[in-house]
This record gives sequence, C-alpha cells and structure tokens, in this order.
Amino acid sequence: MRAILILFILSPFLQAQDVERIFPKQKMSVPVEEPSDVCVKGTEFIVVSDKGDVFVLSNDFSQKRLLHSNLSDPEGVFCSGDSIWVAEERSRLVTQLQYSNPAAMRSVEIPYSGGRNKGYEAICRNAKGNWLLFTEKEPVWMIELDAHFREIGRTILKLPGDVSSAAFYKGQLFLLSDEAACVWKMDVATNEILKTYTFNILNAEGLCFDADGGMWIMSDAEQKMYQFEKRSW
Amino acid sequence: MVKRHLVLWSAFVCGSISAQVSLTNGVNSLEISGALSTYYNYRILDSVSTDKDKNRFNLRDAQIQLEGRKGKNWEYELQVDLADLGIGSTDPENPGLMDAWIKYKGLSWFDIRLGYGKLAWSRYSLIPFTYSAYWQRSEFLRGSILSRRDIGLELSKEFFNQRLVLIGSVYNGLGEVSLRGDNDVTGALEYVGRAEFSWPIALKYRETDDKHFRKPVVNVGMGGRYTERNLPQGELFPAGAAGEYGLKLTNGRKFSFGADGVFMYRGLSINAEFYQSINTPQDTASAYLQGISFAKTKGIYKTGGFVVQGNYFIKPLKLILSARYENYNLNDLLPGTNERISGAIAYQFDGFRSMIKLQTLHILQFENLRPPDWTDQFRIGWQYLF
Repeated sequence: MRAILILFILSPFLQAQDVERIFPKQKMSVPVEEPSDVCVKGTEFIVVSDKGDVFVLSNDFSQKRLLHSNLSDPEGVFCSGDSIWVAEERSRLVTQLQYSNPAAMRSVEIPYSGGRNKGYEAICRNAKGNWLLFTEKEPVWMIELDAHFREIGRTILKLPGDVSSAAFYKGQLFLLSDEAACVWKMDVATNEILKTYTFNILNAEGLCFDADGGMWIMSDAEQKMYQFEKRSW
Repeated sequence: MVKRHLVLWSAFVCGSISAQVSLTNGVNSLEISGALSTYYNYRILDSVSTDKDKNRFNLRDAQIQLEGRKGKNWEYELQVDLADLGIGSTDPENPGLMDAWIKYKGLSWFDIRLGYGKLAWSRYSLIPFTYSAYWQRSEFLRGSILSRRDIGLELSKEFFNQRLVLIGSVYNGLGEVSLRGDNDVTGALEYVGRAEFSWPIALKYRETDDKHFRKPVVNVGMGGRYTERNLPQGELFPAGAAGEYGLKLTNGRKFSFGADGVFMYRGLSINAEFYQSINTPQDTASAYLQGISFAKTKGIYKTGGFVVQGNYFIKPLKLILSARYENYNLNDLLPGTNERISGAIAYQFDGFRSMIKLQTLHILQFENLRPPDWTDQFRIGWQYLF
C-alpha cells in the first residue's frame, strides 16, 4: 500500500527510458510576431508567423525581410532549392512560394475535416522524397503524399502529446511537441519513439537542423530561438 | 476478469472519442463542435428543511457550437445550449444562447466584436466551463450578482505577442435578459473594461495547468464596470434582470472593480480573484440601505468577495485535484458573510473531452439575506465534448 502511495505521489516526476535532457547553448530574440515554424535556407532562416507572414531572417536574427504576407494561418514551413512550402492549419492548404519571386505562388488543398485549430502543424519531406504532413492533435495524423501532393497513405501516431513541428534530418524523423516540451526521434519503419529529448522551453513551435548538425527550436510565445550544440542526434 | 472489464471499458471510452469537425473551402472555415454533460446532484439539508427536489439527475449541457473564420480578419461564433434553450432559460451560468457574435480583426488599432457573449471583466467568468474540474462556478462569480453575458460592442487590442491585452466594451447592461429585446426605461448602457498581463508567455483562459508548464507562468488582470440607471418614480427593471438576489442592477449608480491572478507551474495552478461593487441607489431611503442613516452609509452599500482555488494536474494519472475557498458579502450593511469550501476531482479519459467530475461543496456560514436550506452538496457526472 505504501509503495502504491509513493508511486502515486512521484508519478508526475517519473520518466520513461531513452529520455535525454538537452540544454540550449544560446538563445536569441526572433523579431517576428507569433512565429510558428522555421526552416534553414543556406545561411538564412525562413520563419512563418501566425499573422500570415513569411520572413527571411539573417543567421544572427538581426535583419529580417518580408517575403510574403496575406497567408491565412501558416503553421509549418519547409525549404528546398528556390522553393518554400507553407502548411496552413485552418485552410488545409499547402502553398508553394519562390524565394527569388515571392509573388509567384500556388496552393494545393489537402482535405482534413478534424478540428479547425487542430489541423496541419508541420510539413517535411522524407528520405523517399515524399511529403509528410502532420496534424496537431486529437489525433496526430501523419499523411504521406507524393511529390505532386497525391496521398499515399495516412497513419495515426500514438504520441504522448501534440506535434508542433517536424524535420527530417539524416534519414531520421524528428517531431517537436509544444505540450510535451520535447523532441521525439522517430523510428520511420514502426512510427515508434526511439528517443525523447526534453527541454525547458515554453510554447515550442518551430524545429530545424542546420548543415552542421545544430538543432534549433523556436518558441512562439517567447519569440525566441534556442540553439543546441552540434552533435549527432 | 476485472482486468478484462477495465480493458473493455477503456476501449469503449477511448474508441468512441471524436474531435471537432470542420469544413473549409480554403478561405472560409467552419468548425462544428459541442458538449454533453449530465450529473447527479445530492444535497444534505439543514435540520429544519424537507424539500429534496434538488436530489436529481440534471442534463447540464447539450451544446452545439459553430465557430467560423473567413480569411485572416473575420471570425464569428454561434453557441447554443439546447438543454436550456428549450425551456427559455436565461440562467446566467447556463443560458440557452451562449454566444452569437462577429469579430473583425482587420484594423491595426483594435479588433471589433459585436453581438452577444461574455463580458470581459473577470478571468474566472471567461474560463470556459468545460475546462474546469467543477460542476459549478464560485457563487459570487457565476452571474447571480453581476451579469456574465450581454449584447454589445467590444474593442480589444493585444500587445507584446498577446502578453498584454486591453479590452473596452459597452453593453445594454441588463445581462442575459437583454436577449428579450428592450432596454429598461432609462435606456442607459454599461461600460466595461479589462486589462491583463501574462509573463513569460500569454496564457489562455484556463484554471488548470494541463500543459505542465516547464517554467512558471503568471497572469494578472484587473477589470471594472460602470452603469447609472435612475428609474423614474414607479418604474421597475425588466422582470428577472436584477437576478435571484436582486443585486445585478441598482436603481442609481453601480461601479464594480476587481482583480485576478493565476500562477501555473508543472501541473500546479493557483487562481485568485476578488471584486467589489459600490452601489449608490438614487433613493436614499432604498431598502438596500437597511434603514441605516445617511450619515453612516453615505448612501452606498457594497457587494463583493474573493475566491482562491488551487489545482494540481497529475498528468500520468489523468487526474485533476482541486480545492476552492470563497468568501462573499451580498450587502456590507448586513451583519455576517458567506463562506463556502469546495473540492473537486476530475478523471480524464481523453483530456477535457471526456471527463468524470466529482464536486463537493460545503457552506461554512451564510448571511441572513438569503439563507440556504442545505449545508452540503455533491455532484458527480460525465462531460463529453465532440
């Protein structure tokens, strides 16, 4: 009986195995209101905002340039070459922008009838070159689409929290969770969690890796970017 | 065998959960959601009372909610509670019509909301009930003494990434009774304001730290309301507008102010709120002044109180534990005060979407203005959001 009572009291503080606490080596202010996701483009960062804007930020976040505005509700962003793809949560659109010609844009609607504010939160491309779209929660759907955004399949991920961003790095899928305050390294074959990286960041909404292996996590409400050490993740 | 039953029960409960449904055409989006809840209420009466009509099952919520958005700038919401709409209820805590408003966010200086909805002045009142472990709000903040909803115009502005929020609004001032159409004969309006500040991040209107914030998060707010309604001789306020205590409206001047705060950290949350109304009846011989000389009362009587509530969310066990103390005074010119304590336990099958809630309420002491005929109350029931 005493053991059960102790377990009950300590239960909030118990953690599963394969959990590592990580600490940022520095944090910087992000001069964007309500930043909701980030990706690396060369030596710059592309940041999308809940306000509907897409910004290009210098690598020290001291300079920003508005690339595009008037999107409805961007929550996820992915960059490759000259293209930037933005996942919009409520409108269920994926919009492609050109870095060199921001006026050129086209959108694809990916239907999802779940909660209006629980739609697409993250977008990335996997090792096969297919798109992965993630809904936020209730449930977390991972939708795989081909290069032309035709659906290949969808899976409900059994995760102990929401998904607020996603990144594919060196053949591994990493999912960021705002509510669980962690990054999950996923097994792409089984969709199980391989490892959990926890941190003390509020309202983590953006995740990306730079070319050197540095992990970056962006806080929406704090308007901060946290840089973690370069290492193998 | 017991284990099998538990597994089957869990499978039934979790498998039946469905979230909100939304429709979109890329520009317009509409979300359909709702809430169902039923509880059983049991009261322990005082030594002389025999009326047990409150010992019963009660359908508290049968809500349908439509939330829409057009592009970046237009929002609207319609929320009805069919359990109360059918009987034409304007119960301030549980009305038939809960929200009916449109909002425009396209101006740089402020957002505009027009329609029927909650008055932005008390944090406790603004917290959606479905995010509470309780079945009943604190007595002096549930709409019996000051209205919680009304028809009017609200202007709001957010600063510093939503950490600072300023809200100013003007309403009919009759509360939920405004839905009947006409104002009272004075045609006066009520002016409401609120300012709140959160740190280090903006905080939603919640009383439980279900996110288990990794850093301490605080929110402090203050609000005020003012209206002056001097009824001509022989005129009355519309039936029901003054509420069950007759205190929601003053034939004269009414100024209310309050402050609130919440602290959240790793599942622990502490909420506190106080308010006071200063009522100045135009008739210095008003019965509310209890026949006390003007020299002593200055022609005013006060209503107000405070509530403190502590919650702990044990995330791995999906359990919310809560305790609440409230102290309020319906009229400071009368001796005595009201004290109540409550406890609540909520078990979440699927977050706040499916939750069993148990609340106990005990009356420590009461004023003679409106003595209750019971001492303890227990409520247990199930809340389901879809």
